[in-house]
Amino acid sequence: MKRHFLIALLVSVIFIFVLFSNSTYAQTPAKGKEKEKLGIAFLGDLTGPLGFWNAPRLVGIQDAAEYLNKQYGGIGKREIFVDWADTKSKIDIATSGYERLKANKYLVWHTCGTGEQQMLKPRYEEDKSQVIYTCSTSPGVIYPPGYVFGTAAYYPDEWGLFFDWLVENWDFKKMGRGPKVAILTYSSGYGKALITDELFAYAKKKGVEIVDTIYVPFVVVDAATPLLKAKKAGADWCIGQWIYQSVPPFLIENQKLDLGLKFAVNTFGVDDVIISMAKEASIGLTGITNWTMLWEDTAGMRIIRETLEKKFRRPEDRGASYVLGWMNTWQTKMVVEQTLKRVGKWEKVTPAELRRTSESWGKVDINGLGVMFYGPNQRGATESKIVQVQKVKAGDKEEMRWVPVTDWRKVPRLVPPDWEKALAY
Amino acid sequence: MATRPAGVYDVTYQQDIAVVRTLPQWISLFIFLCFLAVFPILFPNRYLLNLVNTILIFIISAYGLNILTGYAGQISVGHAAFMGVGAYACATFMTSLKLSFWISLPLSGITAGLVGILFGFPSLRLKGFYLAMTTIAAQFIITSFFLHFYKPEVLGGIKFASGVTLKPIQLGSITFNTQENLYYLIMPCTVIMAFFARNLVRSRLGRAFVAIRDNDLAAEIMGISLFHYKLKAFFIGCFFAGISGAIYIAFMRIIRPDQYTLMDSIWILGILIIGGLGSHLGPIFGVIFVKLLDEVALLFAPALGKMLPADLSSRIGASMGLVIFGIVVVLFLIIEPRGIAHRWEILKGRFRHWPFTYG
Repeated sequence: MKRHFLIALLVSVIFIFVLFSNSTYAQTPAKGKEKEKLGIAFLGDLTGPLGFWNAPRLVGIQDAAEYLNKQYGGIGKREIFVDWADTKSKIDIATSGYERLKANKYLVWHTCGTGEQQMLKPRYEEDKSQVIYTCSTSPGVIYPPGYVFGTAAYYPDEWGLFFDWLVENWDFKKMGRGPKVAILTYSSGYGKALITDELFAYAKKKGVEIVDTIYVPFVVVDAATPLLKAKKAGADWCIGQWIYQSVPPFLIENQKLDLGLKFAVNTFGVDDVIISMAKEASIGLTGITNWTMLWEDTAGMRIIRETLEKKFRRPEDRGASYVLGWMNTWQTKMVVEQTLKRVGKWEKVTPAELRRTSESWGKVDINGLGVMFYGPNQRGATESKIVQVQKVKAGDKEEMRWVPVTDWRKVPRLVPPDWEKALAY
Repeated sequence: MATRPAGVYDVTYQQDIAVVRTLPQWISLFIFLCFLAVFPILFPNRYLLNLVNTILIFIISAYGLNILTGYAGQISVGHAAFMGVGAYACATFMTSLKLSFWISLPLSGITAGLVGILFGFPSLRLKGFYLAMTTIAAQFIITSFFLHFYKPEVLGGIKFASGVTLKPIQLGSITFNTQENLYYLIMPCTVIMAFFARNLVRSRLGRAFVAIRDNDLAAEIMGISLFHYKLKAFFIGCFFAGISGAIYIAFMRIIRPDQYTLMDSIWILGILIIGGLGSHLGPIFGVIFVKLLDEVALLFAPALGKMLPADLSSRIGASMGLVIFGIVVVLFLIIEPRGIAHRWEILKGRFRHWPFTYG
């Protein structure tokens, strides 16, 4: 009995010690004691339903940080390190993670998860304690414009572009009607981020009929039922806010059942991992993106490809989220170093100054990994490309890859008017 | 197992059922309440206050399940959904009907209670695992209702298809938008609900619940109407869940269907088992233990991640936190299957009998 009591007491003491010593890895140690470091915070779901997307992203951030430390001595000559908090896609855990990371005063954060970001947005804007590069270009996250910057177009905007492309390539004469689209998407905040009044009105204006909205889980066990539902509703296309894991079962089932449905994904679905999982069934899969494809020959992509080979990264790590991790880290380097140059010393590098720098970028190429568009009231890309999985000749062999089918095109602006005005610094 | 302080004995029924019976206990209670009142001043740490606020909200919910499952013996695996009912009801009252939060709060508790009665009807015919299955059905029916039928247009605030963001709660000139202010909203509610729960179980109603839990046939023979009391248990249990759900949206200022999952319901039940089913302090101990353990696991994960290569740190590092969480819970249940509250009683008994070893 006594032994058990002592064990319980010991466990409790360890608890309390670990809990209240969370500020042990602060961003800037006391001067003269050791070299000053710069921390990058990552707040996203690592062990919940979005874990399979964010785990490779965190690998990307860590690889990029290691590269920058080695090649450039970090950012602004300060060695960088990555601290992270797992949200498990739960808002109570996300708030706790936010408060913990905030206590460490990291200037730049990378975040993910629409639901948690929507909930944290008021805190971000009230606290003004960091600049955030998020993959959640969702309603109520990047707009109204404040301290949160998106790494793709606002979701309704990019789907608006898809509708533009769809009607341009639709044979109205032959079909005798406009295209019919079924939304197959997650029931999460991310999945539902495209369902806005503005996008639905835009679809109507363009002659695109949205025939059904079908919710699907992150891990698809039964792909046939949603597809048959979409087919029954008369859909030509199935569109959705997906990430790589969920798409291949639908593509494969569609091919197996010979349903003839076509599929489109947003920026985060434009992922090479889908091709490696769905193989031939992925041909024709369409996407909207402002990022560079992994095969393209740019400075940033060359570094990524070399790193992937050198570090023997696993196939599931060789995708869009890994690239995003690198892109966000390059963005961090750019924003911190440009701000440092402008304000003169580290003490003056504040979240407000970092926001000013980001807003001054306009159209900016992130080291060949993607093109961002930021301004005083612009937080998502204003231009994107339509890409498709196609079989192409690469040297002497044929391979499947994402290929741009359009040049850069302006996305329609479907941000609600009351979200246009920038929030206070 | 409860022992009395040396020299304290009861001569009346009132003394027997008294919660606080000696002057030192009254002083301790007063000091504890004073400590709660000045907690944000003593610990002005946002991270800590955020954690404490979350714990306090879940304590209310756990009390509800403790009444329903711990005292009345009606297993519910849909408690998180009833929290959701309270949350959605409160948001509807506040935005569509333009009622103040202070009126919406009890109304959302009552709404959740009424929905609880609806799903409590099967308890008249079913027991144990079978009843658990019907409450799982309640979990899915309620969350599906929020997902598919409850359109954000019903509510005001900032609307997304995925949910609604609400304005901070106000009381006169006080806006509950900081952790400190929210603490003074949440803490009194928790204290009141804990007081209510404590008194409920020593009333006729509470004794009837215990009788039904221990042997429903015997209880019926003694004149306890199973029909009424089981439904009352569902109403009260879900009322607590509704109140906690309503406070939760005042705290988070967002309402979304995917925050009230089956997993959450199972964990609230787990919290009770860890804390001690059917004991007054069980919900408090359970919630504190599980939430702190969760926090430690989340803190431990990045620290472990730093020791591992990048590709392992985001997977094994993050997952190890969960593994440790699971291991500690399993070990704890092996060491103390009757919950922390039982261990607390043993500890109290030891102090009361000190320096003697018996008791």
